[in-house]
Formats: sequence, structure tokens, C-alpha cells
Amino acid sequence: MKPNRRIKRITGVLLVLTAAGFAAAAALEPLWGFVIAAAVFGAMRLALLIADQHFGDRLLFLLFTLFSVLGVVEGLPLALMAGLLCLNLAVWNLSEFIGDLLRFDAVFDQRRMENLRLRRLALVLGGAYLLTLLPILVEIQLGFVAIAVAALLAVYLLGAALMRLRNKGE
Amino acid sequence: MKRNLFLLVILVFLLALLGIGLLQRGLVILALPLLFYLAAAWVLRPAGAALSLHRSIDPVRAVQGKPVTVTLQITNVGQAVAQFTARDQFSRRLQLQDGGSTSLIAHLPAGETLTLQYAVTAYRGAYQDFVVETSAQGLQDCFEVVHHYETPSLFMIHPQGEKLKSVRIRPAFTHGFAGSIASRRGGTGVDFFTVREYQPGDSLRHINWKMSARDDRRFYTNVMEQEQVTDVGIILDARQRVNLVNSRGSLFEYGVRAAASLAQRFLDDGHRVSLLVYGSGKKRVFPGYGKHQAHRILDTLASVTPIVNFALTNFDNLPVRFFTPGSQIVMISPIVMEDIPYITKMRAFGYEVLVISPNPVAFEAAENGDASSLAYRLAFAEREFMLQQLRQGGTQVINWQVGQPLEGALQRASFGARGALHGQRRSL
Repeated sequence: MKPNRRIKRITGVLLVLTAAGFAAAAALEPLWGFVIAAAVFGAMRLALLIADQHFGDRLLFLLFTLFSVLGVVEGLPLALMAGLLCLNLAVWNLSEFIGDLLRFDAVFDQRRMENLRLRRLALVLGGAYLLTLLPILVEIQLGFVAIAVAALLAVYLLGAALMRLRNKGE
Repeated sequence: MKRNLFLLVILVFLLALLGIGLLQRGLVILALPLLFYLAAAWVLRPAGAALSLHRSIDPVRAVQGKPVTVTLQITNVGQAVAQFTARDQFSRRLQLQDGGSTSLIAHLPAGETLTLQYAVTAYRGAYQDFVVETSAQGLQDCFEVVHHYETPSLFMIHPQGEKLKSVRIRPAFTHGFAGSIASRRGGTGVDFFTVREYQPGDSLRHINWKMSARDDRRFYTNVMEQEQVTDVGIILDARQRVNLVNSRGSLFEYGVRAAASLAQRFLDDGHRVSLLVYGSGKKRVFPGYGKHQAHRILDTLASVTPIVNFALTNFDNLPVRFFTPGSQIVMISPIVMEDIPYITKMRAFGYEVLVISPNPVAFEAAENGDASSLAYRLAFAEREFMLQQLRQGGTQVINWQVGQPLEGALQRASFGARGALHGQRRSL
């Protein structure tokens, strides 16, 4: 089943914004290799989206996440990098959705599904971005011991969560 | 649980570790949107779907090659599902026709019904295994609840027979009901049977005036031959040893189609028909009339296959008593030399036997395209000799070239018999 043009257009716009954001942020530094990589991978992702090919969605999402990480390491504005990561997440989510629409023969009430997804996505990613802005705006000084304890706690919690999810999956 | 979930969890974990390792608080902060996204996915994860599934198949009996429409209705009897997918899975032997939908994706509110409809065609057989895979998915593509529903719905694909005109048979035994077989008894009918002395009550229209004119005291009446129904037993030879398979198909398939065509013809003529499939076991359909009997016979023929059964490699165990004494037996078999005594024995028991023999030599010759070679000529001669032996035993034999319609073979055999009869009369 062919997806609606609207959802593809929205995804395309978000994708262009993401790639352009990375390229523009890198051009300000200037990191020309970064600019070229963002432009090339952005164009590739857009071409795949237009051609209704969704086999590389996950890989391209990871690449753009890597761009965010490199951007932070290279000292690009953190708020911008977090915003671009949120856009990247949105593009990935919508690409997977379009891939799902293509995989099935019949789609019922597509408009309603699209609206529901877009609304939910905007809410979740908006909340995620706001949550990210908080520690950027409010700086907390922590000692080494506190950071180590927090890290150990995070490792423990993540491990426990993973184990629980795996058991549930089996 | 989906791969995306693992990917995001690992990303969060890596970013946190990298941030702590490199003492880059920015990297730890970068993990927060992903963490929030994961948390939202966890909170909004689907609870699963309570569904009621109903499948209908139309028609439940179809001829091979004709499409069968499958309709699947899925009703949500539980809570609304944000994103719901369903995929109908069926045997690979079923071929999907263009334009049908076997899978769907939808937002499924409570109480709503979704319908999937598609058409399939299939090779003859009985089909019933359908599995519906449903999935309730979260909108973050991290969690899903998958269920498999088995919804068995039986439908039969019957062998594709050909439409036959009336088949000439002449059994010794007939029933009392009016039909299409000349019964060798006087009564009402179309064909002239004999002449007897006029009796009060006879129709004046049937008086034989010529004969009555020769006798000055008595009148004579024409008596017509009664046409009645009879018992027809069809034996389909399913022994693997007489079956041939090549790129054009299987010789047995032609036999199955012939059996289907003949059963339908005999039942249409009003006869009582039974079926015995001999070889892979002894599948039988007891004698019966009409449409339901046609269904029983075609259902049986739909699922027969030739299998090696060492107890049934020859006609030793043929349950001849299954058929009504004196009835017509139609045997569909390629025939091998060892079968001749058993067929002759059936004649001795008083059955009228018609053998329709799909020609295995011609079947192979057509495949290899060298019917004029010495080997094939010898094989043809051997087969002709074998069939001649059967004919001498009083069995009517039709040597059927399977590439040609059965109707033609039956007509030729019918005209051939009449021609031979005329020839005998002329020589007398």
C-alpha cells in the first residue's frame, strides 16, 4: 500500500531540517568534513525516502546520532545538537511508519493513524527536548564520588531493565 | 519487544558511559531525549488486543483453477489499539490472485470491525489451515504484542473434469426408475423392443398395423424398450507402479479428471454411482444419487494421491463385492499385463466392465517426441496386444491418449463398437 504524500512530505521536511541543521552547525565551526558527511547522508536518506526504500532507516538514524555525538565532542552548541537528535528520532520514527504502511496490503483509516502518530510524536519529542534543556540551563556541580555513584546506579538500572525486558520477550 | 528498543537502550547506555568516561556532560545530556523517548514508549506500550475473528470462504467447493474468495473479519472486543496489524497466513499451495489483501495495518477503536478479502486459486485438494498473525504496536515502535490465531476453515478444490455427453453403457442389471439405459425390458420408451398381441387397454397409437394386416383375427402392438437407471461403480487406479510423471504432469491426474467427469455425467443421467480408489488404500464412496453424491465423490477425488502400498500392487484385493451384482463398472487405469485376469474375473462375476485406459506409452512418447522409434513401436504393439486380450474377454476398452479430450475417445469407442457390430451383421 502506498503511503499518503502528506506523511512523506512531513518526513522529508524534517529530514532536510536535520541534515541542514547539522551541516549549518558544522559550517559555523568550520568542520567541512562534517558538513559534507551530513549533506551526503542527508541526501541519501532523502533519496531512499522518495524511492520508498526503508532498509537503511536504522543505520542512517545511527549515523545522524553519531553526528550529534561528534558535534558535542567538537564543542558545537549542545541545545542545537539535542534538538537535531530529537528531529533525527522523529525522522526515524516516521520512516519506520512509512515502511510499515508499505509492508501491508491494506491500510484502514490512514489519516487518523497519521494524525495520532504525529500528535504523539510531537508531544513525546517536545517533552524530551524540554527535559534536555533543563540540565543545559541549570548547571549542577557534582563531585567525583557523586558522579561515580550516579554512573553505577545508571549501569545497574539499565542492566536490570534490559534483563527484565529480555525475560519478558522470551 | 522490537529491535528498536534494544538499539535505544544500548544507545542510552553508551552515551552515558561515554559521557562519564570522557568527562563530557554534554554526552550524558544527549542521552536524555532518548531516555525520555524510551520512557514514553514504556508508559504507552500496548496492552494487547482482544479480538473476535470470523472467516468465511465462498464457495467452499470449487473446481481447480477457479478462484475462491476468502473473507476475514476482525472485530476488536477490547480496548482501542493505536496501531494494529494483521497478516493472514495460509498454505503455500494456495496462490493469491491479484488485487487481494492478506495483510492490514490500522488504528483499531473498540468495537470496530476490519475486513480482509482476497481470492486464491489452488491445485485440487482439501485446505483448511489458516493462521492470522496479529500485532498491537506502540507508536514509538518499541513494544508490540503478537498473537497467532488458528482459524481452520475447510474448503475443497475439486479436480477439473470435462463436460461429457452421454456415455454408452449397457449393464445387465437396471433399477426400476426411469433413466437413460436401455434395460432389455418392454415398457414405455423410445426405442423399439418387440411386438406382442394386442391387449385391451393398449394405446391404439402403438398398434403395429402392418403385422395386424397379415393376420385377419388378431391385432399386434409395438412394445418399446424401457430406459432405466443403473448402478455404476467407478474404480480409479491409484497404484504408484502404474503412474508416470514427467514434465507435462502426472498420468494419474488425467485419471482423476476422467473419474470426476464420468461421475458427474453418470449422476446427471440419474444413475446410482459409487467410487473406489484403489492403490494408496481403499478409499470408497458408497452408492448414491444426486448432487450430494457428486460432492462426496469429488471431495474424495480432491485428496487422492498415488502412493506405494505393497499390499495393493495388483488387483488381488480388489473388493469387487462392493459393487451391486450385474452393475456397470468403469475402471480408469493404465493397466499392466498382470491385471488382465482380475478384470476378466469381474466379467465372470457378471459385471459389465468398461476400462478407460490412459495410454502411458503415448504419454511418454509425447514427452520425448520420438513415437516412431523402434522402442516405442514395440511398446505400442505390446500394449495393443494386452488391450486386445481384454477385449476378447468381453471387456469394453477405451485406449485414451491423454493429450486429447476424453469425450472424443468415448465417442470414437462408441462409433467403433457400432461399426464393428454393423460389420458383423454384414458378414452374417
